[in-house]
Amino acid sequence: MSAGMLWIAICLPDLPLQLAQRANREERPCAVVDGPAAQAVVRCANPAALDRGVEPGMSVAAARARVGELAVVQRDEAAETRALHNLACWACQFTPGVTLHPAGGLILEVASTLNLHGGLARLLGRIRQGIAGLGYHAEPGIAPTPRAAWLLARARHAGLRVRMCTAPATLPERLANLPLSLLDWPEGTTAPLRSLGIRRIGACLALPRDGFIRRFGAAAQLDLDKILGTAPDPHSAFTPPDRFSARAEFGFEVADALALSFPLKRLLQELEGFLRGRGAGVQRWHLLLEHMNHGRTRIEMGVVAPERSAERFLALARERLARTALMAPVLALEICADRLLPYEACSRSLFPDPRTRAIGWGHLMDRLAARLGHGRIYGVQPLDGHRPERGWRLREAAGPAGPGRAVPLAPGPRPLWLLQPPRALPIHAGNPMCHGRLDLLAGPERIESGWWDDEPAHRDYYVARNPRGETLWIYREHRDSAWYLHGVFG
Amino acid sequence: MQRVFDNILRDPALWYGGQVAPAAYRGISSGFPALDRALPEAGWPMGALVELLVDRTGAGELSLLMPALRTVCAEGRRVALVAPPHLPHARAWDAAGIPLDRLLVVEAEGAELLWSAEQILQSGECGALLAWMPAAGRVLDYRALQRLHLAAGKGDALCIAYRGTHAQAAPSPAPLRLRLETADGALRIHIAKCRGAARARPIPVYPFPAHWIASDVTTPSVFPATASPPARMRVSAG
Repeated sequence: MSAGMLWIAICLPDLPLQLAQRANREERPCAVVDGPAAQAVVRCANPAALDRGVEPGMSVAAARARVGELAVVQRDEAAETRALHNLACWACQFTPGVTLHPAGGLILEVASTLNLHGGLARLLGRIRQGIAGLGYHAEPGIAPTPRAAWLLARARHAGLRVRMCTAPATLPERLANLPLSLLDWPEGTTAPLRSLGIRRIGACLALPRDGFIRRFGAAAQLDLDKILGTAPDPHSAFTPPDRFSARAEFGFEVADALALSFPLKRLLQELEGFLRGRGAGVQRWHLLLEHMNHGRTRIEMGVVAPERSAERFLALARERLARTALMAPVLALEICADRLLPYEACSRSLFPDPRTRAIGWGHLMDRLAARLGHGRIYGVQPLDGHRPERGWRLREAAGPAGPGRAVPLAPGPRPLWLLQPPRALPIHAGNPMCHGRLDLLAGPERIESGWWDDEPAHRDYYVARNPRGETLWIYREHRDSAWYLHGVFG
Repeated sequence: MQRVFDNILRDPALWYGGQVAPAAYRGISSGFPALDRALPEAGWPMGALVELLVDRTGAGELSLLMPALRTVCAEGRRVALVAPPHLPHARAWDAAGIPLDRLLVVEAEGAELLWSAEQILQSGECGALLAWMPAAGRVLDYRALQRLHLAAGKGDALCIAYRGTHAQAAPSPAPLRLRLETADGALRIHIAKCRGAARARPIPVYPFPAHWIASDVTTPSVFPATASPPARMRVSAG
């Protein structure tokens, strides 16, 4: 164990309860129960329930008898593992050395990244703020060894006043007052220690080493050595996966799409942390809403350029949700991002350069598409083809301009507005009419094309003006001698 | 005494009734000298709302802006069309000198029209925004137009709102309002509102090729024989 290491432990022993409450804004009495349905017992309960007499280990019936409106949530260990996993993904943004702790928590090696984050105080501030933003609460413990950091975090969680420890020399003193129960040693080891009147870690450390091993076992001594850093304590680093998915379940039904944005924000912050840790961004992700009637709604979200800001994702998702009609109340929410793309961070510069411009344009397109839908924002692009209705195509507004093909200039005048499809004009006394009699100003320009497909054109185009002063582009189709309005010279 | 008057008259805050007001916005030339001479900014004001009051599509109301749109594109900025009446004809815009990769079309109506116009203007990405306002409706009140005007200022963009001539009586925050009338292939521009002295006489502008002016036209207004479809067509129809 090198002297230069520093560990931050994040301890979440009441994770089942935190998960149950995470999606809720207000605190109502809530208990997580465990065990077979008939004999389920309360595993943990929130302060609102504890204050009214609910205790861990109590049967569900007894708890319900004390608090009538108690929300009872069945413990879901798979969900806890997933949540811890996602938290580890999120924590990868602070350091590559993240370890999952089997008892429900994380341990981060931070000495190597302290400078990057501007010192311990700032890093701690960011971690605290981030955890709160995700909807969890945890007190970090800081020590030069992972085991000691975990002990300090547990002590804080138990409500003991302990200080962080950054130097190995002060470690024994900082740990001295912690109760032995924090060590989670087997009862066979702690009972004889208790009978000797040894209740604190400090007293344990003061015992002679050889005698301690003989009486209490080598395993206990090894644990003490790991705490002080004199024995190696290897940890395998957590490897973040290649895709991200996170889920929030509500204990109740959500009928308003916009009310989903509160839990969604927390999931998106997890996504952001994950993407920061991977140095990546995503362009496509989707939202999955699970409904009361077992139906699901899948909402695809996309941005123009790889992005990772939770705030931007949330703003776009809110626009989408605002125009989504829920088919049934929602019980759970899930987000998934599959394809990670390299992300290029960009700071706003004083003088906008083309790259920041392109990003600004992309953001604008995302905003418009989220509210209006992709089909209502577009550009046009000329195509080869003599028939005007085939001489263009729509293109995605945000996408790159199509192939830079030089379009041959049309021989005759072309109107700025095109009617799609052409509108048939009524004939009066042999002349076509459009809000009155038409005066021909230019033409004819003959367009004959398409004899090889099913829409042949054999037309004479004219520029015409009606009595209202509108300048129009009309043609006569030779096949049926009908007149059509095809464009307007705006 | 004379000197006191001279000093007062030289005060830049004072302008004569017959003078065109000094420019308050950056102007870009409209490409029509007669129009430029009549406008305070010697062209279209950038960063302000401009209302074009016109009842027709096809009066040249869009060709009127083409020179200015070319200038905007040459500055490297984009052009947005919000709620246009028809589909922009790619080849015509290309021929008019507007690079098509700089042209954005947004279909929106009602509150979404104003919202998208405001978003586009505020982003500063577009140098020109042309919006076709609904013929009537509650959404287009003074405050909505005021927001567009402010957004145009923020994005330093040419912001054109097309409205019907019926809107002339309604109050508007736009510093420039022009009423367009068609007359023999020309466009008569009445200055409905403008800072400083407005010209009482309409300004004639010719946005279309000269030979399209009806009075000069030599094309016979007799239509080519429409009553001579191929014989077999008539047979099959019968």
